[in-house]
Amino acid sequence: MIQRTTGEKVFNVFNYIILSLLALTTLYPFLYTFTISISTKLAADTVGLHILPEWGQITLDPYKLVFRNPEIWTAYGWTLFRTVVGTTLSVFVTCFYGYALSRPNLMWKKFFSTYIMITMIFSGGQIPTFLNIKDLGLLNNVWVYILPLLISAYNTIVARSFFVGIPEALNESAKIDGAGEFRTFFQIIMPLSKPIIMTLALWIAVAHWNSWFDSMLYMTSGKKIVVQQYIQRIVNENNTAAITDFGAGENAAQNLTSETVKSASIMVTVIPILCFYPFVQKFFIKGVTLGAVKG
Amino acid sequence: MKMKKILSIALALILAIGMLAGCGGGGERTKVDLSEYEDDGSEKLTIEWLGYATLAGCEEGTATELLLEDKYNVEIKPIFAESSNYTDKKNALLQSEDVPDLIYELDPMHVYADARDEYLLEIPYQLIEQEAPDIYADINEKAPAVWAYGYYEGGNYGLPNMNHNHMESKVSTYRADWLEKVGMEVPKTVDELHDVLYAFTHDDPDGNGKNDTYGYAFASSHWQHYFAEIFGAYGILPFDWQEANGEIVYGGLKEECETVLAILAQWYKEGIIYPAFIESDKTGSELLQSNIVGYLHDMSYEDPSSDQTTLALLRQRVPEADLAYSKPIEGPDGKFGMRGWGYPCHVVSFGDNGNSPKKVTRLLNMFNDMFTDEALLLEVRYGKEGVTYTVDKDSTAVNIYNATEDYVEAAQKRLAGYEFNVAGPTFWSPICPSREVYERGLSESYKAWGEKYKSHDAVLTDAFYKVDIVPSAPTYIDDLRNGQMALMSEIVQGKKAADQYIEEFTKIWESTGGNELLEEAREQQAILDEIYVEVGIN
Repeated sequence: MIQRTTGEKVFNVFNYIILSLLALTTLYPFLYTFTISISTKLAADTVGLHILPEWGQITLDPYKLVFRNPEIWTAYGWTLFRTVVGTTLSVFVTCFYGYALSRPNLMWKKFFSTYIMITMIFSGGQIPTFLNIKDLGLLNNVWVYILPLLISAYNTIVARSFFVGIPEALNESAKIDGAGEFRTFFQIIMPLSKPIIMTLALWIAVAHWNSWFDSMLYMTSGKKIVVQQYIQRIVNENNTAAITDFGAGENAAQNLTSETVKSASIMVTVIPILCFYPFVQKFFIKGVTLGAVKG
Repeated sequence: MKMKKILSIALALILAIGMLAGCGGGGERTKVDLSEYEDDGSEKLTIEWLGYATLAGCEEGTATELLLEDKYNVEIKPIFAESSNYTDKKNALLQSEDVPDLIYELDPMHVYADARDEYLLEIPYQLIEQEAPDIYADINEKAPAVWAYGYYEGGNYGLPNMNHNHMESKVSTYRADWLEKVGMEVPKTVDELHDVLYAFTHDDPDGNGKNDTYGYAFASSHWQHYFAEIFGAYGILPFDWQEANGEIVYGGLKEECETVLAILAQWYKEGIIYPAFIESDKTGSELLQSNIVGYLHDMSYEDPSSDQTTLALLRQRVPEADLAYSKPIEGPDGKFGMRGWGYPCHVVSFGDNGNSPKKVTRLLNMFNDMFTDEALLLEVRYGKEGVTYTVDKDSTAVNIYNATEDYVEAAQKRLAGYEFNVAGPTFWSPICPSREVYERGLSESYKAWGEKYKSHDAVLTDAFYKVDIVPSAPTYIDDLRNGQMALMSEIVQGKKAADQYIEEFTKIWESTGGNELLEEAREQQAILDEIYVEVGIN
């Protein structure tokens, strides 16, 4: 049992209070958006704090309206496609590259390292990137969501740092047993790499889930946009007519407002990815410090 | 080591040359050969159409597209963009050498930049007069200053469009039940407005025994609404160019501003103005609905049959609430009004992409037809009467065109390529309807309300309709406006004296490029004079 001094106990109390207040401060915008999303127009437009919904002014009509527009399901489909497929491929390619860079006997290792580091510092900019995408035939092609984002320098460096930390003895013993590089990678290294895989998966999945700019710039077909672009259209344009059209019952008109529908739209895009966090949290905490010490 | 040094120098040189390669002076403009624009309509033309960003999500092959293709012997490749990122999308297309044939420009500054970068075709006024004579005549009659929107270095690079809805004045609104409670009438002058607002603040108009009401709040924190009708009552547009004694001046430098600010400072001192008028993110409408303020200077017509109107929502909290309306209050010299955009809207430009200039003529003819042929315009915007829309002359909505059951939902309209809009530009008809067509589309209910409370005279406009038409505006105007509003707010809140305003604002003016803007504005006036000669206006 650790004995704490009075000073430490007092410090702990104040520490918990301040951190709790900070946590509440960061929680308020989310709570506000959620409250507005289940409020009637009257309650949403009323001036004042909106921490909790007003009793008697709670409604799910905004959510009904958001989900009844079929465009959102198509957009969700593409978001899920890019998140699942994009994350899987990105993690795979990043681990491949990172593992290769971690091998001490890799030929032209310095070149490959510098090559990827340069991409972290310099970028062609929006227009050269657009031209590149166009020349690759990726305009209005759903693979534009995945291929340009397949590998990132930062993630590769983090992955490399992790793989450097795996004892070389494991590779040597696998080699002695007759395993080739690929077999060693898949059967020895990858099973030991759950922390880095889950960390990368989380970072990449969140990036894919939140992306909308590539959808806006490279997609000309309205049927291939992602849900974030669809929601961004709603929020920025205040165009709730785009999703409030289908009606939610005879009381729907009373509960329609640009603010409530905007808030409901934001919640339906945030909640799914928020649910992903608890499952990877333990790996995330470990993974965040991966690149901190080893070089 | 020596090799490394040589390599580094070589790389640096390559980088420098690469960066400088993008810099290039403009070449000399070639004279436009009008014979290249001659078009008898027999050749099928392909047109890449980057229209107004109102049909995001729409696909090719809608009924409207097919109608125009068939009628004008064209094949259209529409490019549907998001309105919030339209400029990004347009720039990506232009700079990747994928220049569309039709480019909808949202701002004269965009026309200026794209013409400078040689993405746009020069469109002589003579061509517009020849191929779109009715649009040409309408611009000359209603708002010839808008020709400047397409101007760049002696040439015209677009066809401006005009939105008649922008000439609809806003209306002042009062809590009629509060007026009755305090025993006052709808005010007509600034002084009477003060008395009413004072009573709204101090005489407990909501009868709850608490001192929790105010007189005045902004419609929104946007600079256009900044005490707009009070400044308007003294003939001032504080954030715009105005003409005074034949010369262009900046409204915010007029001496009368100090008079208005002194009045507002007094009102603030008396507690009439909602204290959080600067930092509040709540709109005036929300404050009115929340029973906090009793006056709004910026109200539009609301369909009385709807339960979503300001009054309907207010009555959910206060069943006895009622609203009264009026034209803006008058100043001591009988002046009145609030800032409006005036007729001008945007510009329709044509891409310089090596394709036949005949497409310009074809499109000008198309737009002129839509401007004069009401049946065609309605079919483009609304579809088929009886199928996609009906006409209800007794409607209490703004206009008489109502969607049929299958097209009530805006998404269905959008995906079908229709836009139920009787006034402004749309993707497929970027030139706004004529005044006559617009008015025929309005309901009697809307017109009757307008006759009582609206007036074109109440729409005060910038001398050029847009303060940021001068070339240096993107560099300076935001800082200038923000500095000006901050200074005005300090005076209203009593932190500075009103008679310090001109002196203090002159310092802000000089440090944020104001003199440069003024010089350019006066050059703009000279440019307009030249344009008027070319388009035949005395």
